Amino acid sequence: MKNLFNIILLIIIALAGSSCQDGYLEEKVYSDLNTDGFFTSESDLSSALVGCYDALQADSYYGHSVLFLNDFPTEYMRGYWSNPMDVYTVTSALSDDVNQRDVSSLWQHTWTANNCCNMVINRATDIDMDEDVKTEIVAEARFLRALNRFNQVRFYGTNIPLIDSETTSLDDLDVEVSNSEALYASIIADFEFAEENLPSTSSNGTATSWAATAYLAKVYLKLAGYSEDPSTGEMVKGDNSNYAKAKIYLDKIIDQGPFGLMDKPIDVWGGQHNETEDNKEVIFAIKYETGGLDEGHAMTPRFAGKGNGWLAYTYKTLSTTWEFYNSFEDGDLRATNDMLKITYQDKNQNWKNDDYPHCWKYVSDYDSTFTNNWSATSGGDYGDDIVLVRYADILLMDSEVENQISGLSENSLSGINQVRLRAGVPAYTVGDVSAMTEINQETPGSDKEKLQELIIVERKKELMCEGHGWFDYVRNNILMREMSKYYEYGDFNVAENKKSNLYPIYIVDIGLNENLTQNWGW
Amino acid sequence: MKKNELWRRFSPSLKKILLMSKIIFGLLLVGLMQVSAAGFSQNTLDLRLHNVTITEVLSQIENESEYRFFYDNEQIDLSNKVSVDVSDKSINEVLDQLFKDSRISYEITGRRILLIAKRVKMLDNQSEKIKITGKVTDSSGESLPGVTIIIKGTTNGTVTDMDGNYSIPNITRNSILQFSFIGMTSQEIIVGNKSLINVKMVEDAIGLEEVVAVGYGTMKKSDLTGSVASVKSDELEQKSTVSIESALQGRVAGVQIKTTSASPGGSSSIVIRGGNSINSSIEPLYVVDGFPMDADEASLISPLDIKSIEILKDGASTSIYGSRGANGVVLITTKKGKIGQDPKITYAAYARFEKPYNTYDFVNAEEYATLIDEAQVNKGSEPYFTGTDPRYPIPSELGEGTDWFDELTRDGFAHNHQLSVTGGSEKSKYRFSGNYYSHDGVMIDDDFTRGSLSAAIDSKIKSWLTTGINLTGYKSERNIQSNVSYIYNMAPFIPVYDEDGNYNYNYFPDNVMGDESPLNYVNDRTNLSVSEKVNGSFYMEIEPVKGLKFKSTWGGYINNYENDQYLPTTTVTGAKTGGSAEISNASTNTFLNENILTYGKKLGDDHKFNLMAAYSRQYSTYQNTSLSGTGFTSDKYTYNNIDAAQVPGIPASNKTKWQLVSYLGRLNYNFKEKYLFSFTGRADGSSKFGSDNRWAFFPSGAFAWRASEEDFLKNIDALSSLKVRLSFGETGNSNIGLYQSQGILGSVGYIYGNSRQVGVSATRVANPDLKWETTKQYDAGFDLGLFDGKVYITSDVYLKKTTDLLLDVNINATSGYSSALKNVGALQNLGAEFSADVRIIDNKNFKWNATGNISFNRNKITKLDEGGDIVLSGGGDKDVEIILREGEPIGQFRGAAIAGIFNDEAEIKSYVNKDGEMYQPSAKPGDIKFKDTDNDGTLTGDDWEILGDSNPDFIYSLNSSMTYKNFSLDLFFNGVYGNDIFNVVKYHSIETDNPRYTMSKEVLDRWTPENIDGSYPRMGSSDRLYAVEDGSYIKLSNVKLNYKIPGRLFNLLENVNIYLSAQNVFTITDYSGFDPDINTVGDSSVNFGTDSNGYPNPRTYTVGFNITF
Repeated sequence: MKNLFNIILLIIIALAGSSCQDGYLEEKVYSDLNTDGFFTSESDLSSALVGCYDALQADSYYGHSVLFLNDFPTEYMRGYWSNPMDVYTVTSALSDDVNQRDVSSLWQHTWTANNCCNMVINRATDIDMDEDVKTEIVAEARFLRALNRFNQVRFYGTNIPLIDSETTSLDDLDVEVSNSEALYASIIADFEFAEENLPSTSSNGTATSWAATAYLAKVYLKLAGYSEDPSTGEMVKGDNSNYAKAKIYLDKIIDQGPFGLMDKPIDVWGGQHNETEDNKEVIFAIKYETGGLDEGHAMTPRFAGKGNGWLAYTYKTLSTTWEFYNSFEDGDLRATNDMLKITYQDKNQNWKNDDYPHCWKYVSDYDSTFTNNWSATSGGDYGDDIVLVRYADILLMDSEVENQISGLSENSLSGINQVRLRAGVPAYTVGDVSAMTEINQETPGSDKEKLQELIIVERKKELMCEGHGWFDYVRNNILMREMSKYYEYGDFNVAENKKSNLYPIYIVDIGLNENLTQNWGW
Repeated sequence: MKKNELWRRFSPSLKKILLMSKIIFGLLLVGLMQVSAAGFSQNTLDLRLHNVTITEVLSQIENESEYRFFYDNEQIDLSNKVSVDVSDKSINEVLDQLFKDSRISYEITGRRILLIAKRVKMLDNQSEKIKITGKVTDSSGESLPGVTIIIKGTTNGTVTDMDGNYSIPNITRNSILQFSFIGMTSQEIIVGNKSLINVKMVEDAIGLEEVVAVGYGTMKKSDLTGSVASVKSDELEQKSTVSIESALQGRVAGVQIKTTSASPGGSSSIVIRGGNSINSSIEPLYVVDGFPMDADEASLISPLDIKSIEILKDGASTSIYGSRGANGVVLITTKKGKIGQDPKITYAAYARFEKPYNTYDFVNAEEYATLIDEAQVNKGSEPYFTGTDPRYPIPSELGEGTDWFDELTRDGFAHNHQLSVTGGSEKSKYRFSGNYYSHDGVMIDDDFTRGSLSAAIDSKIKSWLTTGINLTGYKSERNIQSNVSYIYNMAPFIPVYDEDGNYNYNYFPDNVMGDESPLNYVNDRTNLSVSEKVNGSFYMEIEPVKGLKFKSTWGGYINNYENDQYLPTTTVTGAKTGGSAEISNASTNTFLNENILTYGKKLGDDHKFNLMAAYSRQYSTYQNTSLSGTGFTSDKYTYNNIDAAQVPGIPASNKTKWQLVSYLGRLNYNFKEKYLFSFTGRADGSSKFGSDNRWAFFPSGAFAWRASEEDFLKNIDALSSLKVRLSFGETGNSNIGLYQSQGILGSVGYIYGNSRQVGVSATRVANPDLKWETTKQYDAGFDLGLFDGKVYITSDVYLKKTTDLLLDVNINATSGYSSALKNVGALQNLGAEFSADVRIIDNKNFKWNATGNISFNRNKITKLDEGGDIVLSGGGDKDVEIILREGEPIGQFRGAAIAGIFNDEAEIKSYVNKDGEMYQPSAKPGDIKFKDTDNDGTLTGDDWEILGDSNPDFIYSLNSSMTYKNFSLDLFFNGVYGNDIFNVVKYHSIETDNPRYTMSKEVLDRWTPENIDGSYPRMGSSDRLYAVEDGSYIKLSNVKLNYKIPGRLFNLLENVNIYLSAQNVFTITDYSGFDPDINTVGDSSVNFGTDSNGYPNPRTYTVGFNITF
């Protein structure tokens, strides 16, 4: 009895006092990975790099937000819900609501992506692996970080932080803001590093040195053009010498690059989604895939016309305007029910006239899979890639830069004419342009201004719905002018609702971090 | 009764104490058996034994009757040989004869007979010896046989005879007589110069002597210092219900139980003393026979297997459960066998018939078509119902159309069977039971079946060693195809079948059913959930020294859940995918080890201590997998052959685990039976907490004063008992998700080439400071018994302050993370509870008992992160929000402030701000007029106002039980007052703009040029009214008429009860939904006022019986 009692007591003491309590309480993660102790090998680093691409792929980034914020303030994108002046149009571009969905979620996503890139770049240092492979992975991460940062400065201005290290704790999150010089210097340094260290081709659609080259051209073009001072709202013209720098990179692509125009505009998006990926016109694209992999986007049904059923109800559709449709020249392949469809297919596969024309980019999947896919994946599973930069864009930028440097000439018309001829409309001659008096409802004075106006029009027609509109308008300081033009037929008064050439900084961050100030006009 | 060897080991001085505790134990045992006085007084004996030992006579008596003998081997010699020849004699007569010439006397207490050695009394020269006689009666004057009368300080005494008479010879005048009887309050009377002492015994104040479960032990109810409510099996069985929660509804003050789903196998949510969390679950902790588990796991227990449910409410009672106690604790004790009880077989069964009631009133086809076309015309679109398309005839040709509610509902039916065997030998007790329940719900193709088997065996292997095992297995199957939303998603003009007799698809454009006909969908789809649980535990308890017990329990449960779905090609949606199948499996494995040491000690007469110390560890792993595929060559495979899918889906799996280690202890100190103190402490180490906060300590203290034991109150006749209680306790809520404190890399993918490359992405930043939510609860209350226990009142006031609320707060998005779970925020619940139990009439043939309770709770958020409001979706539609704001309660609805409907153009024009500008220049007559609440001249989101509050002002219930001879009638009312409910069905059915749903008949009273005073906006108006409605109600939720067939039937059936009952008899409410007793969201404190497609709660009629063999 006594012995037993003693034994039991011993057991209790043994159990109660066992020193492995904290070991027992260690929370073991099974189905996810812990940030601590993960980065030990090359495959760990590559797998974190996948996360950086995935961040850009998100619905609130290139999945639709970049496109919406760029293209809604233009004449060529409308949502029709119950009337043409769709709720999207007003709220995303001009609303007082600084928490508007796309504006704030894009802000969050650019920073998520930034943190992801920083994680790869920072952690690479301590990993023992092949140095060449490491450099290439870091170069990819720096390319993506620069792309993020370039988007941030264009959308949200230059009163934002410059963060180059991974967030590891909840302390000290109230970071200082940086400035234009430092931000652009870091963007250029990252792109330059990427250009130097990335391979010139990629078999699987990841960033190449050419993509970095193209973005360096875009960065210098932006630096040559207008940017808004986020504190005063003043539009500041950049240094013209940047045109020459942009020109170096554009020439490099045109002269040495493996790129060219596809035969027809629609061929960029291909008949089937798979062909989009590796065609010669695409320099860099965000990749999507259908098939229930959770790697698709929802742009397809949004662009696909009126349609029928629950899906069409949910998304309705993004359309363009009859005014825009009618502005195309006869025979322009980018309109004529090819890129701008004026019909839609109902659920019985019959074509019907739509209320508005709608852009047919990203819709190559539509015919075969629209009716099949929506129920399985809630309509958000389409595989057309979102093209960020392609050869036609390079050609149009080349015309723009050449025109800015040396004015209207055969040289400066070369790029725009290649794009026009591919679209099935005649090339401009110097004489044609010179003789024009009214372009894009404007009356430009000099030949240089005329060509610039023509390039603006051509960029709209060629690059509509690809996420360029806002960037182009701001760079050329014509955002208010263009918006006034195209919003006058609605009941929305642009003059009264004039806002800045920057989107507002996420109001929650301003509330949390007193170093941040809201952009002018918001 | 065999010799008790252990007795010899103790000194004589201890024996007395032990004897007393045996008596008390015996009394308790008998009390628990709830044997009525009539039961044993009628027993007579027939004995014919020759030349046998007294021991053998006694065991013969034990065999033939329910009497059991208790005696001390050392003092009582039963080896004498005797002969007995009696027939039809009472026990007293038999024993008198048996012990006539021996030195043994006896006392009968209920079934228990104590044998006492007669002592040779020292003559007390100073006291005169007299003889006392008298009669003992109960409060109604009926004579009371079997009352034990003991001369205080001695073991001498007697028992009243059949007529309640007694006599005690040779007693001194300074003696004190103690009268005691089970279920009655003991009385002490000084003999003095009386020679006739008649005593009227009164019933105990209700339940004072009953034993209730408290955390890690049991306690006499009278010794409780905290607020613990106990519900016994007879109350649980009153309402023939399948779920514990629904049986508990209204039974306990301060506990609000709302139906989450009235569907078969549906559940309820329990909120004890107000919700004290925002982000975490507010479900209480369930502890079944000592095994902590969550509501879902406890829900499969058949109410007929439950002996009692205790609800721990105040901080002092719940604190023993530490980091899991903040929402209160529900202790469930299942039925067990009894030592020495003959086997008893009980079969209980009922059948229940269900009918939907309080249904919505939707428009018929003609009205629908008229309204839709009116909306089309008002919006400038073409009308649909022109007759050009045969599917859209002109409204007047449509008539009534299809009543989709009728099509999708039916009369429900349920039946339940329970068979149990209980019994025990001298050293072992056992109970086995099996239960089967089957329920076809009122929605079509919606049913539930459940089966369970359980066994509990306890055995006293040695005098100091008891061991036992508990095993329960459950299996349930739920077949659910219907969704309440289908009843309003279909337009009434669409016929069920097309002209070929096939299901019509939903051809009305823009519908939310995705072209699907609900009938087709419901009938053809498979969606089956199977749940299998096994719960088992084993314990050993040793008692090395009297009063010191050590119990070690080892147990675990395995919970497997499977869901199988198949959508065949015969449905519209299934046709698109070529059939889609999905199987998902989840399993939870929990292990628990508990080691409890208890020690009770009495020092002198005045000091009583009880100590408990325990150590426990628990872990739980969870694992799930799912498989899916689409495109099947044949629908015949259903979900049984996923590899036959042409397009396989991505398989998924997940595994998690948590661990908890605890040290806990409790000290009870009882001074003079008047002052009761209780202290507890628990240290919890949980893997869920951040590494810097891994351990938490939760203390409590409580004090109770039995004021009625004080001399100055003892003389107040009306007062039979009064206890005042004060307590404080700290508890935690660790219902946080797992891994919340860790920096986590989630799995993501990106397309490389044409294939998916899987990678990682940081989804959460580490927060090693993360900890539990802490609730400090202060409680003051009293338990009052009046008029000989005829009235018993319990009341408590409490204040619960919860701090360190876990909120997912915004953090700087520049960090790469936009939110993080942090311990910020605080809230409080202040409340009062009142319950009363009154024996209105209590005589032999007619008894009437009423109990009632009412409770008030005021909930307030005292702090949020950075003071900002938190706005959440209203659960049904984004137009109604739930707002969390400092200084205001949780669960408030917010929406645009509506002033009314514009009657005409003039009203729109005259609705201007102070600058003379029209507020709503684009409005048309019949549109909604919005209020400029903040008077800033414009209508913005700032003008939104609170539409309602889900928190009731008070909840109450009333139960009446009447027994007349063998009939009894129970009525149970419960109610809620002052809360609001967001009615999602109504909200959708009053939409006038884009009517994808059918419409409420009320919409017929919309604005039209002819009806400018209409209460709904014009058809086609994009604004709509909210459906936040008053949820107050009072309901007759149960009526039960029971008939107990008198006597034994066929000499075989010991006890037969048959009953008829009805539930949901009527509800008085302004709420327009099926039932205001609804909380479709479940265990969240945030949107517990949302009725999102709540299942129609049917009116039911039950017929049932219980038989005991």
